[in-house]
Amino acid sequence: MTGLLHAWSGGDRAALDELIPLVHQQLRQLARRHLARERPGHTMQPTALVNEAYIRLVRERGMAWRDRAHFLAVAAQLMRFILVDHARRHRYKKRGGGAPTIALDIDVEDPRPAGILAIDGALDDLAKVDERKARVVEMRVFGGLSVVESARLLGVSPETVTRDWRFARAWLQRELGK
Amino acid sequence: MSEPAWERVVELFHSALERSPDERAAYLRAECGADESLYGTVLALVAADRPADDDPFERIAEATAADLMTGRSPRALVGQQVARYRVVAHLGSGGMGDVYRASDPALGRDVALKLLAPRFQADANFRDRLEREARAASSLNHPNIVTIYEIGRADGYEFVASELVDGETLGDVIRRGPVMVASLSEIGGQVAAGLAAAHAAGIVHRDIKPENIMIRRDGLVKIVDFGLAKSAAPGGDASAPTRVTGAVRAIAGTVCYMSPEQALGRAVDHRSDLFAVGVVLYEMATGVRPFNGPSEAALYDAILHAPAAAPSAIRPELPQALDAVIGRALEKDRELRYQSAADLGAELKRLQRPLAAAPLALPAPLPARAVRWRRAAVIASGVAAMALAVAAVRRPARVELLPTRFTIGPPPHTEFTRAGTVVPSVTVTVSPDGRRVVFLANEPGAPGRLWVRSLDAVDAVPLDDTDNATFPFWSPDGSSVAFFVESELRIKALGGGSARTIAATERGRGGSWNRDGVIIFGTAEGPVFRVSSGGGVPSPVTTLDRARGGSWHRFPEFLPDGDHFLYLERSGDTRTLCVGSLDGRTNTRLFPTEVRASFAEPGYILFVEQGALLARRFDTARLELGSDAEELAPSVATSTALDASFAVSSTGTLAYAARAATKSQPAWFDRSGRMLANVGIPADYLAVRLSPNDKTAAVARSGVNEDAPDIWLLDVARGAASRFTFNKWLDISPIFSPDGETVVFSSSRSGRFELFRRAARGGAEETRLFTAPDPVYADDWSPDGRYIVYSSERPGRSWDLGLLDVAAVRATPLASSQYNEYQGRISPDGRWLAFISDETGQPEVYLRAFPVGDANVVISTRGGSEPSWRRDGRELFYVSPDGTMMSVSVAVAGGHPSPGRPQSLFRVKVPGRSLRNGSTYAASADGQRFLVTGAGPETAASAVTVIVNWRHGLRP
Repeated sequence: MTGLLHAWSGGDRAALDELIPLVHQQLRQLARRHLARERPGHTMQPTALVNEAYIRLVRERGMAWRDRAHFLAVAAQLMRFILVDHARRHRYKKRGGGAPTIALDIDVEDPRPAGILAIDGALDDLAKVDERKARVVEMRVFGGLSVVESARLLGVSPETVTRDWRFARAWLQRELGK
Repeated sequence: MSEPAWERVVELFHSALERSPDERAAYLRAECGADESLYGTVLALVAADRPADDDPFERIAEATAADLMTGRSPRALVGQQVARYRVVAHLGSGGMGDVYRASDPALGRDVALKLLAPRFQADANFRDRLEREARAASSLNHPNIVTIYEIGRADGYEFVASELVDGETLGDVIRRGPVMVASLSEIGGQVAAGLAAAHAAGIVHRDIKPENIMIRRDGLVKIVDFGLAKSAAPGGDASAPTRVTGAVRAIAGTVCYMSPEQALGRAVDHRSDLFAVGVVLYEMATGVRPFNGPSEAALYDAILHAPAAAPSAIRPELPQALDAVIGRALEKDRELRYQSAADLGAELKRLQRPLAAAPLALPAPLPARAVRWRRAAVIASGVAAMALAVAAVRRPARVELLPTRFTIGPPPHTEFTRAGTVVPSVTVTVSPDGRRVVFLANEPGAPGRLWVRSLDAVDAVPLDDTDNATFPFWSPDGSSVAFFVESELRIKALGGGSARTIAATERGRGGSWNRDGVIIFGTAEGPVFRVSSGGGVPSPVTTLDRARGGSWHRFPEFLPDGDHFLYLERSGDTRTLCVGSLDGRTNTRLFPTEVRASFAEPGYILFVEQGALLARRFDTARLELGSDAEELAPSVATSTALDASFAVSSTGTLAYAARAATKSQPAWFDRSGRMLANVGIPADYLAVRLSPNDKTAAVARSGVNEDAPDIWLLDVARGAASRFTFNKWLDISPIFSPDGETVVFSSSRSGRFELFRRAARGGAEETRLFTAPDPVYADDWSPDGRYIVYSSERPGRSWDLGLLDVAAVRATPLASSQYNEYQGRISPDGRWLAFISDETGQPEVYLRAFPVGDANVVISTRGGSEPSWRRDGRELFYVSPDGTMMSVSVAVAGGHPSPGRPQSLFRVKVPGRSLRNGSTYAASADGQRFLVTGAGPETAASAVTVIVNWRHGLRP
């Protein structure tokens, strides 16, 4: 994951090394805070969390980021990581136990798609054939970046991002519907 | 299938979208020419296109964030209050939320409570949709449409309370096999009637499928889940087309029931529902779906272009008239379909006319040998039969005692918990007064628990605190049930409260409880023990006859005096029904039998012979047997633990479950899923492996009327099969040595799975190769012949991989963690190990260095099992959770494996269950062909038959 970040951080390695643990910690803290509050029915969008983390880090630490979009792009990857991690743990917890079996064990597999885990897997697949489209999805879904911000970070035109976004959504849709 | 060039796919996708929806298919057809794969891929992508403001991925991300933030899970709600409803049980998860059974104290009734998933609560779009569903359906008042009681918002939840339908889904029915024509037209007619009412009110359902059609126990059909319903037009003109909104279809995702117009993203109207009904009718008639394809693209293409095979071509006994009705419902052009649900309903009624009005539920077949039963038996189903049954129980002296039989299915959304897998069996036991049965059932994927069902009630009730229970038995007063869990014997009072632990025991195998409060129980590898029902330390009451090679005593059952008891003894290679006594003085062998037997008043022993349930006279005073046996049921399920799926009360109520057919036909398939040739006969197959030269397949399969699988060798060219192991114990998991000369397999012949070896050419005796404290199953043999990788199962804990040095017979752990690791497969160059681990919560295929290495590289992307290598080591196959054969290219660069992207090849088996210690396919050396054994449908036992006054069907 860090490797990915390094690869497109534009060489600003020192800043990035500092950034990742901070953002990660900040996102976790925010999640915990919301968890403690537990307001049924009031959910928090991941993109809102990422934005909140940004505002806090700027305000409390006075840190200067290259720009907001750059921060959000990094945070988007971290957000994806956190959510996938959570979903994995949650699934394991839910699936403890299992049907009793005698003499021969059976392995009951769940054929239903796994929400965030399915998206994560599909995004990995997409990145293998078309890295940029996967990055666009990540920025939009987990980071809350606008089309213009995404376009600037990826060094392409906003029209290209729009087209990437439309194709990627159809592609993911189809993958997840399988 | 070759993957179309990515750039071309992207380009065609965008240019197709620039055209109007109606022109897109034709445009792509012209652009793609003969490239079916490209056409199908782009068409599916175009169909998946969504408006820009509609992004399900953000919602799913939010969903997870919401779960993360609130720590909510569906099951956590059970026991909680939502508005005035108390949540009793989680019934299932639908597209937009979870459905619970809840009680409504105000009106004293149970309801189905649908809660919008937390992830959607914040989304106005979804709130609207839920509300729209509820309002649409609640505006309808029709017996075939589920009644909505209340739509509301409380405690942070959007909820809908509706009628609780006590029954099963049509999907459950279809999974048991094709439906009789009479039932089909009856069910189809009711669906049509419900839809006619909805369409008249301007409401299109949009998601008709078997899972959305409930069949109540009395046969009344209810359409549920108007989740996608949308008022057709403000004016109420149902024929005015409307557009389906994108995300709606995204969530439904059931492409199989989509009409061509839906598949193309065109406007949908009431005739689209009729197409879906056509698909459902087709599936009911034939057991298969009309449109299929190895990929989604192919499925879209089939829906749009391929005519469905006539149902009578699949099942020749079907009437031509049914072909005509279904064919018209499935017309691609909606102008040619039935134009109204009422028309379709009338046609379905006409189908019924030449046939007698048949009951919905078919009676179980009568025993062939008990001829008198044919005349005497009262055959009925459902509530009427239960009323009869209860009347017979309550007034035995005054009514003429006729044997009465009816069946009970698993509670809604559950299945009977399988004990054993070779042939699924059902655990069922009858209360001493014969009025209640207790059985084991589970929600899919959840642990089995005990359910109690009064024969005079409609519903079964789950017993709390009985998860993972096995071998339940009743207290003599019928107030409690005892059972085994892990290494404990527990008692659960039916009146409530949590289960109480009575004693510690290793792997209990059946028990019995007398009026003096003495409990006796058998063990998997020991004698019969006794313990007080108040608790204590168990002490043995029988003695294993070590001299005769005795290894266990199981399934003790008190005779009426509460002192003597029956039990099943294993001695050497034979099993015998014996009588013992609490004082240990009686030790009488009755007769050899294979599985558990039971005493029945006024003096019978009920036992299983060649798969049939028989009754034999038994004099309890003299411990003497009559010479004749009479058949009570032609088929009764038995488990690998040697339990049998029947129980009898002293009042004459007998409950049993028949064996379910699980036969499948092995066949060769190519990479596109085309079947090349059948190999061998249909049977229950548990494992298949090919010899290194691809000429011989070693399979584990069971014989006729025999649960215990043996190893057979198949000559794959000629299809000839020769039996390789001969015994009544379980022989499974065969593997070949690298030179093909030796077969190693796992056998339970000494009570626990150990590894045995035998020359593949036969001749020499089988020799024991390796024994461990836990059961072990052979997974793979290293190419240099030095090692065997095996899976072992620590009972109650996890599965681990071990490495056996074959020459030194020395074992070392290979992968052992708190998670399950199994199905190890060594790469042909001997440097890598592919295996399954469920550390992420679902089984995935991993790769690590062999024999030493712990850096795992994940291969599969969305679950996988049964890895297998192509012989050149460049490609790895596995089976995805939905039953698709997957292929991954494996390149090794700089000492690290670098797996490619998994590609799906073809559907290899029905999704769902798979054996950790079995296999459903073997790939040929060149990876071009697959010998598949698990392609056939697998049916679980689906009903328990109850016979009241069973003995009155016997000869006097």
